Amino acid sequence: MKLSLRKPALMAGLAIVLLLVLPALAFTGGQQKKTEEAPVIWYTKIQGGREPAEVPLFEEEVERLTGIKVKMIRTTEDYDTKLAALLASGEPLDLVYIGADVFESLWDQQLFEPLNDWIEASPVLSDPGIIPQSEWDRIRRDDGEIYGIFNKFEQGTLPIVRMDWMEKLGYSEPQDLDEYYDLLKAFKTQDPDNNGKDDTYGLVIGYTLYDSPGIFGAYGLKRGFIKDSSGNLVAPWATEEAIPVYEWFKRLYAEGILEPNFITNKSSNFRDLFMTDKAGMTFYWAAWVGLFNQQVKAKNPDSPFKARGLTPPKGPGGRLLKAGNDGFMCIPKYSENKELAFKIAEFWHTHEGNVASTLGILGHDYNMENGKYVLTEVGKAHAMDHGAPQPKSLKWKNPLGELEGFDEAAAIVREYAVPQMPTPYDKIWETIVRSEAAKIILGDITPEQGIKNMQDRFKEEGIYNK
Amino acid sequence: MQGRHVIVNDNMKSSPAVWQKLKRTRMIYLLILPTIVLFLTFTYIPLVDGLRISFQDFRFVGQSRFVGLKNYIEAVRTPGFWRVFRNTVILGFSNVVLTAFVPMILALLLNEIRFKVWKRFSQTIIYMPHLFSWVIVGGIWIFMLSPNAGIINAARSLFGLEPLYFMAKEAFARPIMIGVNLWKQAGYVCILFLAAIAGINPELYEAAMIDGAGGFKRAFYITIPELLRTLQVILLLNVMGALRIFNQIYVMRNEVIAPKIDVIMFYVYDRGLVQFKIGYASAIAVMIFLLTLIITLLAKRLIRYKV
Repeated sequence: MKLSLRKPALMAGLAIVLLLVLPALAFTGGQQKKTEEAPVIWYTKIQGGREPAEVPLFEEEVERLTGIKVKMIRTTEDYDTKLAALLASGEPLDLVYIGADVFESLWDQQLFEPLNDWIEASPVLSDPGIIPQSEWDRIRRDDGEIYGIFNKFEQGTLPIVRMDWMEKLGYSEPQDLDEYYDLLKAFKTQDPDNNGKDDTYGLVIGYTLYDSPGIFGAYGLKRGFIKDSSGNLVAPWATEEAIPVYEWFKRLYAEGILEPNFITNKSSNFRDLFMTDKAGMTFYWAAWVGLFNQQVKAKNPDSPFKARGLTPPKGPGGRLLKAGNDGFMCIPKYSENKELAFKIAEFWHTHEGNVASTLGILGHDYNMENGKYVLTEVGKAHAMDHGAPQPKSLKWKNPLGELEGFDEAAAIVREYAVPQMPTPYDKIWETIVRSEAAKIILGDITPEQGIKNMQDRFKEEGIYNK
Repeated sequence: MQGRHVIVNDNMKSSPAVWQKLKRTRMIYLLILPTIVLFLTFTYIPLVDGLRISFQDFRFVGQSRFVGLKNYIEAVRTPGFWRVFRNTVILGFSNVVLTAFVPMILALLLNEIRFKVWKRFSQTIIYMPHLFSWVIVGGIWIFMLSPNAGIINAARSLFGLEPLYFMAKEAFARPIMIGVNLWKQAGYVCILFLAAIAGINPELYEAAMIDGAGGFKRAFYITIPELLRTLQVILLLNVMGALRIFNQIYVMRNEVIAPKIDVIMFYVYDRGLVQFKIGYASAIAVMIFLLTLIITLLAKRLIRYKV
């Protein structure tokens, strides 16, 4: 009996000791590290090693190139939620990656350090040959300050076509919505993959029109909100001007040209369908033109697959695409390592930083052979993306060249894409517009009813009164 | 025995006796201490913190402003809140009832299977969905219900019916959520009922059989009454979780069906961690906590559950 009592006593004692001593050890450990050299704690979604095991390698690479120790915390799933939780809990972060929409939602919290003086004093970031002054002015707040440093050239989404199918069916590049319709219908009805089956769609997309601003752009309708002459927020996609666009999509769906899972498709779903001969067109990021070609050819080098970006359709509103939302590197106000954090953000836009953010880690993603960059097998799999596949720097030229089709697609985006105006209500916009748009396309409600629903819901959320 | 009780109670009044008793049972207290510390640290302190934040215009950095009941008033005045509340009540109540009674019926049916291998096979099949996470279950059902590749529409096409985009029709949204939840949870609850059935005294069945009772009467007059205690526990557990539906909705929702299936916990997540209205979200979380407490106490009283 005594023995059986002693064991639990021992276990309980041990548990208490661990409970009390471990946090103390962690605390003192942290103190010791601070006296040595505090690393820059870098919280990020897209920068650094592609796999968890590569994060430490990337940290070493940054230290090799800058002499600054960094500790990267890379989270891909639910990033914004985790970021908010970390900021709210006062986690000691020194450098955080943040999207423009989330930055906007957090703006009134005044979480981040103003960086004007630092940027002006930086020989890298103040160089207009690297980042033009107009770009800095674009993100300057009303108080004249800049609170984030760009991460990369954000590109934009555009129509991406199976050029090999288009050529085989004898079509030339479509110019307006009618020609787009004809081409998409041909992909559906003319068996472009020659397998004798009716198993292809004209268009495959996901998240209900998420990547479809190019079609609305034909009517000059920008995504998200714009401000009218009185300064009130207006959602162009929720106006009667958008009705012809909804009618166009509705027709595609009714005729089986639009792949029917367009509401529930995730990115991987529609990308896979496009790469596996199930659809002739998708709307997606310019960088994916190259990635589509690379991934298909990696599996089947003899594949005729040829993805290319298309000029968006021209309509009464001209041509218009949406540029990707900016992503920033920001320094929390409470950071105790601001100077080094800024140096890391500055490094990101140097040539060495550009190499790290594209090609990756020397000796892991690429090697230098006779003064030339050579990708390893790992590097090839990573497709030259370690956080900024297309750096923001105007001086950057990829020493290995870009993936097939990317340069042309990027040129289209540069010509026609404008960024969405960020507001704190962008997430609500997504929910309302996409849900009503889906119902219109499915034929459950008329476009007029859908537009009215959108406007009513914006009023209900109090957005149209702001 | 009576005298001994009196002596013990008298002794309890003196502090040395209390100390003696504490000393005698110190192992139990020591063993429970880490759990108490963990609960305090990770459950109760955040709970109190959440209550405090619900009265604030929360700021991530710096001083948060005290705003009294503003967040609570804003919540009850927002139409969106009442919409998700209604969804939560409908989905929650359906889950409470169905995931208690349907598994009970399943357990009764399984109990009647005499061929052991078939019985075990059936149990395994019914239980298996419970082992999968909501991410897997949600993905499976979204795929099965898809208009062009799903098995449900493939079956419909055999009868010449047009494919239906189930996951994009508001009318199907709630039945799908309730059905899929039942599909996932039924096996687990069914096992609990089967365990309870196994614990029923076999002499009761023997006596009933001698009296000429058939299978149906044995189930109705012996098995079901004997399962009532288990049913009470399951109902109570279901009630406690009714307002906390989240994972399934997070995985299976899309914008079209969202107005019919978005629930309070998702609303809290969306307002708090997507739109960063932390004070407002905390106020709703506190309301859910209080409501769950009240409903649980009411349910305990209604089903006359005693610990």
